[in-house]
Amino acid sequence: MKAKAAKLVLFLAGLVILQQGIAFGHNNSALMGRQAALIEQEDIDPAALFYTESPLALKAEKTVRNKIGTALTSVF
Amino acid sequence: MAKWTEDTAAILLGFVIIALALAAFLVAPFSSVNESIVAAQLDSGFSVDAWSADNDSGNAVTAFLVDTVNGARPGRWALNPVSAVSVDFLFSAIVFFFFLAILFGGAALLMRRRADEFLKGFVFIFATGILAYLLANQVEFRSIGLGYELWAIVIGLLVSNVFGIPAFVRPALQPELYIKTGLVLLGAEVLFGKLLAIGLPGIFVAWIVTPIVLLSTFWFGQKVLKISSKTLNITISADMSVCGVSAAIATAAACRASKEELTTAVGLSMIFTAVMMVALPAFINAVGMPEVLGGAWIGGTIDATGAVVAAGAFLGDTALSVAATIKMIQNILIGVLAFGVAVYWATKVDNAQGRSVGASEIWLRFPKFVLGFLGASILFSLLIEILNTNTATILVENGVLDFTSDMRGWLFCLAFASIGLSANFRELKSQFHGGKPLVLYLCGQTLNLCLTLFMAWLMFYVVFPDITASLQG
Repeated sequence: MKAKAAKLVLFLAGLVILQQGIAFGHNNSALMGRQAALIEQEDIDPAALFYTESPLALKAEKTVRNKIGTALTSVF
Repeated sequence: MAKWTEDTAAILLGFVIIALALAAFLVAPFSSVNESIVAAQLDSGFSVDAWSADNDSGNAVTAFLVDTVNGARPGRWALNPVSAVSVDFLFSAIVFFFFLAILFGGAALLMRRRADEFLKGFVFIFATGILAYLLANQVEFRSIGLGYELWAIVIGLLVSNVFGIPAFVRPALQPELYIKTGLVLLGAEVLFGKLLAIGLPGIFVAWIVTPIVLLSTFWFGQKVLKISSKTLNITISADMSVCGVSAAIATAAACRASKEELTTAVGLSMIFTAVMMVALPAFINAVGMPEVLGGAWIGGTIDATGAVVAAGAFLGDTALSVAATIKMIQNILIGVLAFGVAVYWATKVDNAQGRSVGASEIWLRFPKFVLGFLGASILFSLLIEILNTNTATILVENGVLDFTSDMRGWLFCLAFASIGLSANFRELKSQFHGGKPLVLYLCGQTLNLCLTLFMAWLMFYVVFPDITASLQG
């Protein structure tokens, strides 16, 4: 039982270390900090698997279609 | 009567969910919404976003469905996980549990398994799924793309390897059923009409480079690295070259890769995606690469859509649009990939003795859920083309597919929880023996980076500079 409890505590400690490590990166690396702020501000989900899960991806496709509508017609 | 298998049950469940979504989000509100949009789009200033902001295309049923599926996931939190849990969440989670219990309990009965035993274990799997979503919604974890898939596997592995799996959970450990049902729903999101979104440059970057990288990496794994498992090799190759976790899931299911092999591919993808999401835009900025080229490079090489959007947004709006569109076109490739891998495995790999086999034996070996996946893809591709474009955006993309993609997310989460709970830790460790999967991923990704950059430059700056100019305008 003690061994199981120790493993569980170790797991939880690992989670806290990982979370603190990422937070440290955000606070001390301008690059990571800027990207984290952008993700928060634009409400981006970096874990989205497919384009249908990301409103920004769906919007991006329509923006691109509108922009190149004329160019596409000439290509085909 | 023929016995229902996981494949046929997955097709049935997938289409039941699709039928429910179509009835609630498309058929019921169709006449009024379509009429209103057709009238509104005559105005020169019409936009879907503005129409959606001013009008509600939903009804009480759609609101209930959306609230239940979305609300069953805990909210976002920073330091205190309890703050992510609310009364609304608990209510939605309970309602959603019963909804899934009816679906999968019914499937268990069809497959001649005991529904009561299945449901007892399903409570545990569902709770693991909620915990996975809870960790995925932690602000820092979320910011680097550590999604529910990873946490579901980690929690499952922790439970099974520290405490052991209670016997009552085993009947509900059905990762293949959850994955295949999720894949049938994913098929609805594979819309072939999206292929031409960015014209020929997009097709060349996403549909010419990707298969070359996929096949080269698979060949490299077999001939140079001599990876003993073909299923592990193709799952990692597809995961790295196509679109990350979703491609890994579809490929692993199509070639019947083991749980441990899928876990290895998903783990590799998530780690490299988290690194590339920060490193690639930083490099593009540092060398002063143009936004269109940088966006196309990001879209063709970073695995997950969400990470592509985050990396593209870092460079600017044009890069974001190009990156997300290239990734979307690459996402569509998943349909061809799943079908190709299923056919290749049924006709060549499973036929190791080299003897010729008849069509009936190939049919027996063929993973039938792929037909459900393709059927859903064809159905929705046609539906999008038939409907008025703006009506399709509002009712299908923002309605039906928004609901089915959330459902699919839940099913993948349950699948990964089951995988974590039933995966063998020693077997998982043995996958990394000699570091071959890591070397395969690194070599494949290096080729992908070089080839995608070259093709993006060739297409956007040499062959079709007009398209690039219009994107920058």
